[in-house]
Amino acid sequence: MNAPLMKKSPKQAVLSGLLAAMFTLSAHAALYTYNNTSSGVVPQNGTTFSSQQVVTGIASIIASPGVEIVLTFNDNASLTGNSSGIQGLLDLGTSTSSPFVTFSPTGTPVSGSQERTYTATFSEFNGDNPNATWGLVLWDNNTSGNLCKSI
Amino acid sequence: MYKKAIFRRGTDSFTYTISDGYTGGTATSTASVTVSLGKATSVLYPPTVGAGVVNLVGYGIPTHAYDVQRSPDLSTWTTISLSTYPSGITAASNGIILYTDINSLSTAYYRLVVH
Repeated sequence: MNAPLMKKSPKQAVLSGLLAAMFTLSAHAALYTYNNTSSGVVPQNGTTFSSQQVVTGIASIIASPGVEIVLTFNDNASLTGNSSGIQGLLDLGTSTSSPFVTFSPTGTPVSGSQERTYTATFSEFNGDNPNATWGLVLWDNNTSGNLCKSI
Repeated sequence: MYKKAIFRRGTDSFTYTISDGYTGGTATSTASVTVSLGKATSVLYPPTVGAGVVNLVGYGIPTHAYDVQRSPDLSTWTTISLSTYPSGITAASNGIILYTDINSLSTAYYRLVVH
């Protein structure tokens, strides 16, 4: 990558590579951590970035404090924390009636980097069976900005 | 050769010169080009396949409408969800979009596009 040839959209965020998505389940005092290395552009055009994580073999239900997700973004663009920027969903299952939570991430600076992390703990799944296909969905409500990074 | 600097919707222009290659005569003109984007696509996850039936799972923005398209060759795409859902398929409140193709081809590719 030749940095001078790159022009990054001020309105477009990209999930970084490793640890793009990580979530931790609490189940009867046990912690289960899953690192999902999926990464990609969070689109602005009505489509979504999504990633699935299959969880199996956990013998107990989700317990307090719940499910924690950690997302890593390449910069702060569109991490507004409201409906004007990036929004997301975490689904427990692949049915249209599957339980879910919605969130609007903000960015916490990473020392020495332009990356931003977003960490949140959700208690909405407490009491549910964690053994399912989890879905992470992200999209950007911004409609302005360039649609490609490189020139 | 025209090469647009940034992939951005809108109109751009470039100036070109042509030569007759013989007498040295040239002419210069300006052409206008318009870059527009086709409908964007989202990922559909690996389907489950039954007897002539393909069950598809995808994700969209809740309450937004999408179409499922099918192709035999990744070249020609046909919207197959319209016959059942004239206004497109609306993503559920959890973003999930389900569609069952009951007339699948022997080889088929699927994609989800914004309605």
